[in-house]
Amino acid sequence: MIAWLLLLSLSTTSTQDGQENSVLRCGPQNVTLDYDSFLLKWEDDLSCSVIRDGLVYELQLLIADKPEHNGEVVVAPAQIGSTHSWKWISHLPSQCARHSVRLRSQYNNQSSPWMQKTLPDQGEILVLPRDQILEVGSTATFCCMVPDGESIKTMFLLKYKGTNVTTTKISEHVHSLIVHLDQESENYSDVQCETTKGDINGASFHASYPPDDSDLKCETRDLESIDCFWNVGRAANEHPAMERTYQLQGSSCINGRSGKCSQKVKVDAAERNWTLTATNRLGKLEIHDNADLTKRVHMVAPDKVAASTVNPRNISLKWSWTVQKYSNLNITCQVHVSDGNSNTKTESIGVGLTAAVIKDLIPHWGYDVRVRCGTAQHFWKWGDWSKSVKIRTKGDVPDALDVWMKVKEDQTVISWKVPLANQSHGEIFDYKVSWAKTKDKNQSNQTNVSRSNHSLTLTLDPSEEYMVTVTARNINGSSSPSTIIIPRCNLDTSKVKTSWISGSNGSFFLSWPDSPNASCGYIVDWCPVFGNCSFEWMKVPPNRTRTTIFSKNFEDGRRYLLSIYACTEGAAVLLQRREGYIRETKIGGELFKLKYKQEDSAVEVSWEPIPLEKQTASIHGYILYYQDKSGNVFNVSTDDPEATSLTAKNLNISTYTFTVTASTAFGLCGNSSISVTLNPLADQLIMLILISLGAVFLILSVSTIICYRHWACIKHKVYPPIPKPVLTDQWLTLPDEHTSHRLHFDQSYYREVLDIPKLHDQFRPPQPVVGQDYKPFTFSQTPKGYYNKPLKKSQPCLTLPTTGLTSQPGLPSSPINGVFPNPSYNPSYNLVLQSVDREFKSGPEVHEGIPFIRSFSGYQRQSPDETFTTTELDEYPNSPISCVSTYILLPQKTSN
Amino acid sequence: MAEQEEQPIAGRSLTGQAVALARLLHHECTSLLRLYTERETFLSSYTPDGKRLVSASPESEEPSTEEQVHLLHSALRQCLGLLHRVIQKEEEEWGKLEDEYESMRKNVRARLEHLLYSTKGLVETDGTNLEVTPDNQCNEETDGSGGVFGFKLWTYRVLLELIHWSDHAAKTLHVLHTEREGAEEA
Repeated sequence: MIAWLLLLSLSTTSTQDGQENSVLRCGPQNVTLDYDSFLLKWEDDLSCSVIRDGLVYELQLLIADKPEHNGEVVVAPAQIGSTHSWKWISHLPSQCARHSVRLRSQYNNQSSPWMQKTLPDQGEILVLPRDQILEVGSTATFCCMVPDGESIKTMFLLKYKGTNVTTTKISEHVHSLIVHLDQESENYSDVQCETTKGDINGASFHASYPPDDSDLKCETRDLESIDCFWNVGRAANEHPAMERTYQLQGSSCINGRSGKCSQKVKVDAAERNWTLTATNRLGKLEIHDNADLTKRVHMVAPDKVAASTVNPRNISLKWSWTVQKYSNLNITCQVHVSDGNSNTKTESIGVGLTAAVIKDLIPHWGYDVRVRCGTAQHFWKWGDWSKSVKIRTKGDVPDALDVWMKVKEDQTVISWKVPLANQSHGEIFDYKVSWAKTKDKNQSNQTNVSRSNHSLTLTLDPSEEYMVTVTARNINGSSSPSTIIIPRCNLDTSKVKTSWISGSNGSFFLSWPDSPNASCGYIVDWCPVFGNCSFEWMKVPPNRTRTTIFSKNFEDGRRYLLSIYACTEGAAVLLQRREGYIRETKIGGELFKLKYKQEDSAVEVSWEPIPLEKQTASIHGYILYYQDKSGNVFNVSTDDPEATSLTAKNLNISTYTFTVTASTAFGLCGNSSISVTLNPLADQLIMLILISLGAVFLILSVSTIICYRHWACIKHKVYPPIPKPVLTDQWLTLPDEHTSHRLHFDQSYYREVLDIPKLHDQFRPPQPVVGQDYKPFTFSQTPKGYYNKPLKKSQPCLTLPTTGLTSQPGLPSSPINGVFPNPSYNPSYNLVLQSVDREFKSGPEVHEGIPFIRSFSGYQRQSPDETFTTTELDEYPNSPISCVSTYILLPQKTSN
Repeated sequence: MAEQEEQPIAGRSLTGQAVALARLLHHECTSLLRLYTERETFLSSYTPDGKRLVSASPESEEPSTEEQVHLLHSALRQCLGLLHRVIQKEEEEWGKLEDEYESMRKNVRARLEHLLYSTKGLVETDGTNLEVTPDNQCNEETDGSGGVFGFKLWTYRVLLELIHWSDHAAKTLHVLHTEREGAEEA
């Protein structure tokens, strides 16, 4: 009865359309609809609890207010009172339309009223789908819907760089946005929708990739488990929603994102397929590797590596294994030995290998040693390196020293290179140097040199050949002796040419022809050309004839001398020498101390030779610039680098500035200047005047003496005694005697007169030559005569100023002596043409001689200078000479 | 306005320190909102409705300053709860980005917790016991019903709420500071 009453209370009666219908009170309540999954949830009304035999809910889906799908949910009696759900999975593409869901309960042909849920609800802006994870390469469609009464203003994409976006206005209430996802989202991208009222809403999405892991490789380290590695591909550490999960052989990998997964497996000698599965929200991927793990052993690092035996030049190593199964494996191990500068690797092989020997080590030297191993059979890959252990070898005697020498006169410097740490094999105590003549080795001298010195200067007899031996001593003993032969005499360097060399990049590159003498190679030594020669050297093996020399002591702008020797069983043989700079530097400052010397119109500027220490660059020559007051600049130059002077010629009497500069690879350097005012040639003029005055004085003196000595004669000639009137007949006979006496006097006079021109000629200054062809009158002082000097104006014979003079009968005369009128001159003057033949040949031959032409300009005072004489005259003392002095009026007998 | 210009010296008194702390929190909340809108640029043109996420109703019509601080303390706890939820959900959705926004977010949380301790110290008495733990009243329906995009909008509202309540805290605590410091000086 009670139950019936309760059932009666489930329904109420209503009148609709004139008919009476029963309405079920038991219906849905608290209805919710999830926008994204379209999941409808509801609860039963409390009145439903009385129903014992189940309940049915009828559902209806409407799209754009049109029924699209119908369904029902049967609620079992036990489920009444709980929450019910219904999910609609559309097989159609996302449709931008308003969706509604209606549901009601049915029981005993009675139905509850429809309960409707519509998307979007009033006051909502709905953008679907939301929070989607989408695959790059796909196309996504988003819808924006607003309820009636509102309209959409805009819909757009945010935080996504895709450009292929299309927005479509379906209605005032519905817009769609289609985007082609061509790239990955940085994070969540957004689709935003805004209404005309300014309200906004949107949907976020993330575009990414499904798993793309690849290259699975599996191996074992302990023969009890498997280790797999793979390439995790792109976008492995991205959005939290895209996190991948991994499984190896169906078991989860804890940290698969690192591309590594390990699992315990049974390792046997069989090939198996190993599978890794990668999964994310966009997909699932399986990658495989086929492997026999017994052939994929990646060994762990050797443990407890240590030296079991340490010797000067070898070490025994031992280690152990943490994996017991390695003891049955055939193992190859690699021992890496490093001293900081060089590395070596040696390999050993053996079953369960746990020891190795390292050879060829440097005594007293520190090493870092580590070991790694792999399977010798079916080698897969090298295992891990062990921890590095430090081992120091024991000490030993020093290595033989590198010895060289330098001989300078009787001083011989024996030098050796400081043994490096890897050559000394312990702290050097001292050095022992012994020397002896090679012909008498028994008489050996020796001395100890402290460890701080690395050379010894010996005074040796240059005429003897010596053998010098040097050894080094440390706590372990003495080194092998290093012997060098000092040659009997200094190495003869005169036959060895020195050629020029230029450095490059701080070094000298040398090459030389092969020498048959070089049985033990070559030695190249070098030292600066000036200053103390602290020489350095290097040794070159026999098969090499080139080397590059570096030295920390090389200085720019300093000239070096490099010598190449052939190393022989005896003394070294000098082959070549080079001289040059590592790098030339510009010569700075004033380089020259200038002096000058004036010679006539030339000035010679000289300087001291440039010392080598100042020649920071090679001097190719010098240039002398000189500038006069007007600013005109002239120059003279020389290509001789040894030159110490340059001469400027043809200078005017003026002030000049002379600048000397050196020509180098850097251009002109070391300019030094001097200002010189040229002196007029006053001294020479004065000297000339004095000489002329002296000559005149001498002539006058001689003339005076002669005149004095012959005064009576002169007086008699000039002022002959006036005979007194003779009244007797003797007067008439006297004239013939008198005439005869006069003639005799004339002859002596000739001799005296001939001497006088000789004196005059000695003091006669050079006179310009009138004519060009004076050969018959040119006297040579040497067999070849003087060249390039003005011809002396000498005339073999005097020309007589007296016109119309004819040769005296009975006296020798010039072969030709004629007077011709010269029409080009003043007709009042006469042109005297005279030709002289040495042999005084007669008339017709005169015309073949070279004529001597002399013009006279009116009257010319007869000067002593114009009285000539020749040595030829002396050679022919008896030759007839036609010489007349106007001062001495010779009594002449006219022909008529 | 004149009251705000009167700057309490930090360290001078607990109230003074609380005021300074509230002002610093307000400044940092403003910076946090700026950084957030730089990341989510669409929010720069978004104006949410005026509904408060956090509310504190006084029991009496004219509460005393101490009662106002009590209410403030309650509101700040709710703010801390909201901020915790923001942090939790952001880390779920985006992971740890370790950018300037996250750094400032961390500062704001620490500063807000510090302010809660300060306000508790100012108004707690023997008869009352104030909590400083987050008062988390939000749930999936409040913050996650709108999806990721809706969460961004909700976060924006939370940040606005933080700015509002930190500003309110600075003013309320300043009144308390003025009252107490004035009484002590008198």
